[in-house]
Formats: sequence, C-alpha cells, structure tokens
Amino acid sequence: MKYTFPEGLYTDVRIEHVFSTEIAYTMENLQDCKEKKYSAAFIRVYDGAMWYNASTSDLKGIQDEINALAKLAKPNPNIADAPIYKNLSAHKDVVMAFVGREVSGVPLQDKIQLLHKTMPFIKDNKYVKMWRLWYTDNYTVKEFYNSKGADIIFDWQQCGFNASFTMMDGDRKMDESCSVPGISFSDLKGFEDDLIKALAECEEFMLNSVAVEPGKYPVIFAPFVTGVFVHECFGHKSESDFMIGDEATRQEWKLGKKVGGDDLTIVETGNIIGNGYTPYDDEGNKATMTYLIKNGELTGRLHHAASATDLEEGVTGNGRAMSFEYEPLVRMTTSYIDKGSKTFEELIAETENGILVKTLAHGSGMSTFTIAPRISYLVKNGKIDKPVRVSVVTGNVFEALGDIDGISDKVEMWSFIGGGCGKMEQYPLPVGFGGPYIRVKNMTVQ
Amino acid sequence: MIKETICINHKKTSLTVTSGEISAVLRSNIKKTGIRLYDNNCLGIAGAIGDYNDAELTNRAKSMLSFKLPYDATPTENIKREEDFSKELGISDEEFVEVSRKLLREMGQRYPQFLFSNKINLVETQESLVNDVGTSLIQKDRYVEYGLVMKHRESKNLMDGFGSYDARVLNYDDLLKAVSINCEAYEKKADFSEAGETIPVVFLGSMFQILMKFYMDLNGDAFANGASLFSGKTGEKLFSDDFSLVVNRNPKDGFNRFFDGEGIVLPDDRFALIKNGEIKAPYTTKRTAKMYGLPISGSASMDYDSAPSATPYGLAVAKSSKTLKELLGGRKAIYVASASGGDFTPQGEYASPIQIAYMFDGENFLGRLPQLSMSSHINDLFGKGFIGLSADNDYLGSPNNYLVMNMNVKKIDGWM
Repeated sequence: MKYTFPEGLYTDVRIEHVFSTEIAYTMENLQDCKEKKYSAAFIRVYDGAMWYNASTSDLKGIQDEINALAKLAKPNPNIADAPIYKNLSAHKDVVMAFVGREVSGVPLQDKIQLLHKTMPFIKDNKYVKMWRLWYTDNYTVKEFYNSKGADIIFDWQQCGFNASFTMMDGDRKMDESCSVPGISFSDLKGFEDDLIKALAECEEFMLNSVAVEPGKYPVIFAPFVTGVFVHECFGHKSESDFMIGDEATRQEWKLGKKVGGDDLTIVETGNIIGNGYTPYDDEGNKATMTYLIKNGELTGRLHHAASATDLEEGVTGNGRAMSFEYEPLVRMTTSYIDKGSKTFEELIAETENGILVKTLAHGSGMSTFTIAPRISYLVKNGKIDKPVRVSVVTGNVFEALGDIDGISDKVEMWSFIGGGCGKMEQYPLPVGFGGPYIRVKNMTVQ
Repeated sequence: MIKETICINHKKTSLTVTSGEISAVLRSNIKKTGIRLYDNNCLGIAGAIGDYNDAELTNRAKSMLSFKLPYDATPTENIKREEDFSKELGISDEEFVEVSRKLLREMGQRYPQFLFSNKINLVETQESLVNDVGTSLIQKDRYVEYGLVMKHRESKNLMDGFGSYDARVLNYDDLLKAVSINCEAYEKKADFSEAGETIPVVFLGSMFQILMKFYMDLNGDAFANGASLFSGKTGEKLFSDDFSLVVNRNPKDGFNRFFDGEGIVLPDDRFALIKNGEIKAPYTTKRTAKMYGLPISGSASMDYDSAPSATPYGLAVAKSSKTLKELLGGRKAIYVASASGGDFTPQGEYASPIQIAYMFDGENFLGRLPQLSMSSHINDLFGKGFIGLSADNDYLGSPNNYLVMNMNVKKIDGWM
C-alpha cells in the first residue's frame, strides 16, 4: 500500500502529473509561449457522514494531509456498511493509451512552426482585420489509490489549435473561429482545405447575411451544434447530483418516461478517446456506456458514488473534477445523439421555412437552453436560401427532445480546443460531444 | 536582464452544501509562482505550483528567452504599495463554519419548501509583483463567498434562483437576506403581457453578458486594427451622457487588485474608456499601447506563468449619484435574477432569454415572472435606453450595484 490509511474511515488519493503547452499569436506577434509541468494531489476522507478534503501541491506531504483530515473526521467502525462506501471501487489497473505519442515529447519549436504554417491562410485574406492563433496541448498521468485497495494509473491527452478572426467590410462584421483538435500532434496535419473553406464561408456570410426575422422556426443543427445542444439541453439534466433529495426532479426525469421519438437515442461514455476520455473517474470508478435515452425513452443517468447511493442506481464513472484543486461532481464525459435514418439532404428538403445553424459561439442550458449561432442560413421551400444573422436560438428543455422530428444518418464527434464544460465553480472541464444533423421544431429564433 | 517575480497565494476553506446541509469541507492552500526575465526586448517566463527552487525556476525562465517572445516595454520601476484587507473580516475558520451551519439551519426552518445547495467559501489571498528595479506591489485579502442555489421542492427546474453574499465583513442579517432574496417572492406569480414592451430592466451583480460587447470591441488589438465597432471613433459620442465605462482597480469597490500584471497602478485606481458617452480609449497592456500609440489602461493579465495580455479585468459601468429608487422614478421594472446564454451579434444586436425574473418596484419583489426574453442594440442599451448604475447596493460591503436600462422584453415559454 502506497499510503497508510486510517482505520474506520474511507480515504482516497488522486495525483495528477500534468504537462501542458500554450502558444499564442496576435497578428503575427508572439504573445505567449509556455510549457508547464506540475504534480499535485486531492485527498478525501469520509466517515460515513461527511467528506473531509484537501488539495495540495506537496506530494511528499500527502500522508500528513491524510492524517490531518482523519483528525477532523469521526472514525466509524462500520464504515464498510455506509451506502456510499459500497459505491466506491477497488480497481487495480494500468491504462496508458498515449505512451509513445506524448505531446511532451514534441519539441516546442515544432508547435510554433505549426502555427507559422497556418498564418498565411488567415493574414492574406483581405477581409480579416484582426486574428489570433492559439496552440494548446496537455498530457496528464493520473494515479488513484484508496483504502479499499484501488490502485489505478492512466493517461489522458489532447492537443490542437484554434484560429479566431474578425472580418470587416465597411459596416459589415463577422467574428468566427476554426479549431483543429487532435489526440496526437501528428493528427494536426492536413487542416489547410478545411481552413480555406471555412474562411470562404465566413466571407460569404459577412457580405451577404441579413438579420433574421424573429419568430418560431424549425431549426436544423449541424453535428457540432447538435453536440452542444445535447450537452446543454439534456446532458446537464442527466447529472443526478442535482436530484439528491429532490423528489420533483426525480419524478420529472423518471426512468421509462417517453421524452422523444422512437429514433432518438442519446449515449454517454468515458471510453471514447477524445476530450471526454475518462477510463476511470476521479473516484476510481470505471467508465461505462450509459444509454441516457433509448428509442425515445429515458433509460439512464449519470452518477458519482453519492448520487448513485441516493438514487439507488449504479455508478457510471462520471465523478469528475476539473483539477487537483476540486472535488468530483457528476459531470459528462462524451455525450452524443446516435444516428437516425434520414440524409442531411432529406432534412433540408422537408423544411418549408426553417433555419440551419452551422456554427456557434456558445450554448447554455437551464429550463431554457440557448444556442448563440455564428453562421446560420434560412431554409426556404426545401432549399438553403440565404445567410441570416441570429443572436440566439432558445427552447424549452422539457419540450425540445420531443420536438426533434428528424435525425440524419451520420454521427460526427467533436472536442473543444480550450474552453469546455462549466458547472458551479468548475470551468472548464474537457468533454467530448457530437451527433448527426437534427431538426427541432418550434425553436424561438431572435 | 531584469527579474520579476509574481506570487499568487490562495488559501480556501470551502463548504459543499447538499440539500441544505454541509456535506463536505475542503481546505486548500495553493501557491503559484512565476519568474519573468526581461532581456533584449524579450521575455522569458517559468512557473511553479507549490514550493520551488528559485535558481532552478530562474534557469527555466532563462531558457525560455531563446524562443524570443517579444516584449519591448519597460518593466515598472520604483513603485511600492501594499494593501492589506485581510484583517477586516475578523472571524476564524471555525467561526465561519459555525455561522454557515446557523445560516443553513435558519434557511431550512424559514423556507422548508426550498432545497439549498452549492458552495460557501472563506478565501484568503495574497498576490504580489516584485522586481529588481524597485517595484513591490502586494495585496492581501480575506473574504467570504456565499453562493447558494435555491430549488423549490415542487419545481421541475434544476434551479429556481441563486443567492449570493460576497464581502470582507460578515453581517448575519445581511447575509440571510442576500442568500434568500428570492424565496419570499417565488410563489407569488406576477403578470406580464404577451406583446413585447420596453420596460426598465434591473441587473445586480455580474453584468458580464451585458458588457460582453465592450470586452470584445474595446480590446486594444481589435480597436487599433479596425476590427471593432468602435475603431476610428475615439472622441465620438456614441452613448448617453450618463454612461461612463472604466477600468476599475480600486480594491475598495469589490475585490479588485490595485495593480495589473505589468505593475501598472492607475491614478485613483481607475481609467476611463468611455466618458459621458464619448469613446476615450480601448483597454491595453504596455505592449499594445506602445505598438498602436494608445494610452496604457492598466489591463495586463496576471497569470503567474503567462506573458501579460490585455484583459477586461475590472471593466465596470461608473456609478451615478442616484439610488436605485431614484433611477426608477416610481416605474416598475423587471429584476433579472438569472439570464444566461444570450449574446450580441457582431453588429451589436443583443438578445437573451431571462430564465428567472421578478416584477420589482425598486424596493420589493412583487412576484415571479414567466419566462421572458430581452433584446436591444448596443447603441440603445447604453444610449437612449441607459438609465444608470445605482449609487446604493444590496448590503454593506457588497461589490454589487444595480444596473438599470430600458429594454424590449417579451414573454416566451410560459411558467417553469
């Protein structure tokens, strides 16, 4: 055993060894360039009634922290009978998915060169008045130990770059950004065609877009936008720490309830390599494949040990913390809507007067969810008609899933470069998301 | 070569509240240190979390100089100032926990129809920027942060309100009032007509969303490169006479740090970007100010291991001399308790849903409103629609004042 765990208490130790890089350019001026390395830990002690937690960057002092937390707790000879204790695991495993391709092994100069290769595409565009380029990567090795015997080591990696720019032509203005995410540095090659296409579409949008006529429309979301929609509109409602002690919410989201059409299936899993990859969560529980909705029916929700205990359901490996400074909350990993049966062309052809949202700035979700689009088009009589400027698309989370009336036949997955998911004080947490094109009736468009 | 050291120390006792009770206690004490070396118009930076070896960290910063991160401004020289607010709170960690338990007990008794959750923090900070050309800037602080999510037991929502109390003093009565602000009015429903109408809208606390356009378009790089709505408009009067926007680094107006990440200390701790409706300047760092011939606004970021970049830290509407009641002048208003997800278009059109709102007479909540949306344009929000930022705030020591502006408000989706 790596640590001496006190009797009559549950204890766990999560250690993070982090390597990260950030390089930023503003208009060809190198703005920032840094590599960061640190190791730090989060320690929890549970006595069956309360959690006593500490975060520290002093790995040599972990045992002292355990001992100090144990003094605050009340030893419980029956700790093994505590319901939460039973939902904490004792896995022993080593899962190193990125060894041999760690971004920590790529010279900083190569990462700088990648951005230099990207610059001409943006700076030579006559409408681009202001631009920024940003490269980021992160390679993290996590260790997890607990008093039940858990002994887990796994790694996680992401890299990518983002180009954000402002185009202007007289009074016309367009803000947009293009991201190239990857798992390994070598994934970031071959972005040129996509970037050229994105810039051309932005030009077209800036020059020809008109303000949308506010009103209710069917809205078709592109796969990237679908991913944000499912995350904001439904994913957060599946995080069952919100339901602890809350009977009304449990009744509203009762398993077995029909909330969507027969072709609607929503999946959540930490097993997909990408930003949401979480083979073990920050409580040492193993990732599962959770069908949140299957054929339109609520079939599952996301849990950490405490919520699973309260709702008397199984843990799902969704107890995640943003970093060593925070305790685990119930968080998403990778969430997506599964494929349907229609083609994208059919979705458009069936739409008499609607909006196609292609890219977005951000989304949010409470009782009303929002999508703030960047590039949108009016769809008229079954055809993409013209670019329209939309401030925000909103809908009611309790109705939106039932209002999905078309799902395309191809799923695309996505990861954010920078940013991520926010919950309470913990932002940003890397998550993956995706889906096919979907069409949602009765959205409020402004 | 000039050496500069940035230290950010954050000590926190954090209580997790679940179903109205404290379910976890977290104690953390994290020290982050960055060393910057200025040499030949370049900057080398290295950072460490926790204990560090100064010689080793300095060597790492030295090696980063080879990447030639350009920095042609001069490090701040010969300024010494220390502000210490850490003694004002005057309670121990244990007393803090006891007060928090008492609060939760009382809220549970007074408002049994609600569940309360989220976080309560006691935060102690020390931030400093010290260099070997005579600058030493230090700020110490200690304050409480109560942020409680309120959820009605019969509601289907994830949350039905949020009460917060952030202060360097702990007045129990003010605390109780601030965190349970919406509980009394929640169950009484107020009317709102279906048609859109222009009506005063009141915001308290975070005005991030409403000021977002200024964050983007008053950035020095965007402003100087013609990528801002305000580019080329220095000296032009675009907004109301009553509207001024400042970089506010006065630590007494909130928890602002009085110096920025380049060691700039502003005269009177403030810098005007818009004054009486007239565009004066964008926000800048020393580097962007020099590059574009702009004034320095004291807006450099202070990440311990990053190069300074322009940040809208402290960007705030200047207070008027009128109270909230005087600003409303007897009119009823929409009090926005929660509005997330809205945005501006690049042209300045603004729209946002309002998830939680109350009809308000300037003193009392008259009832909870249905789901609404609000819309306007940047020119109107701070032009003909601008009413003002109140001189008064919601409790003693609060960093928040009331922002009031006329907006077009519509009912959207009924009751939640």
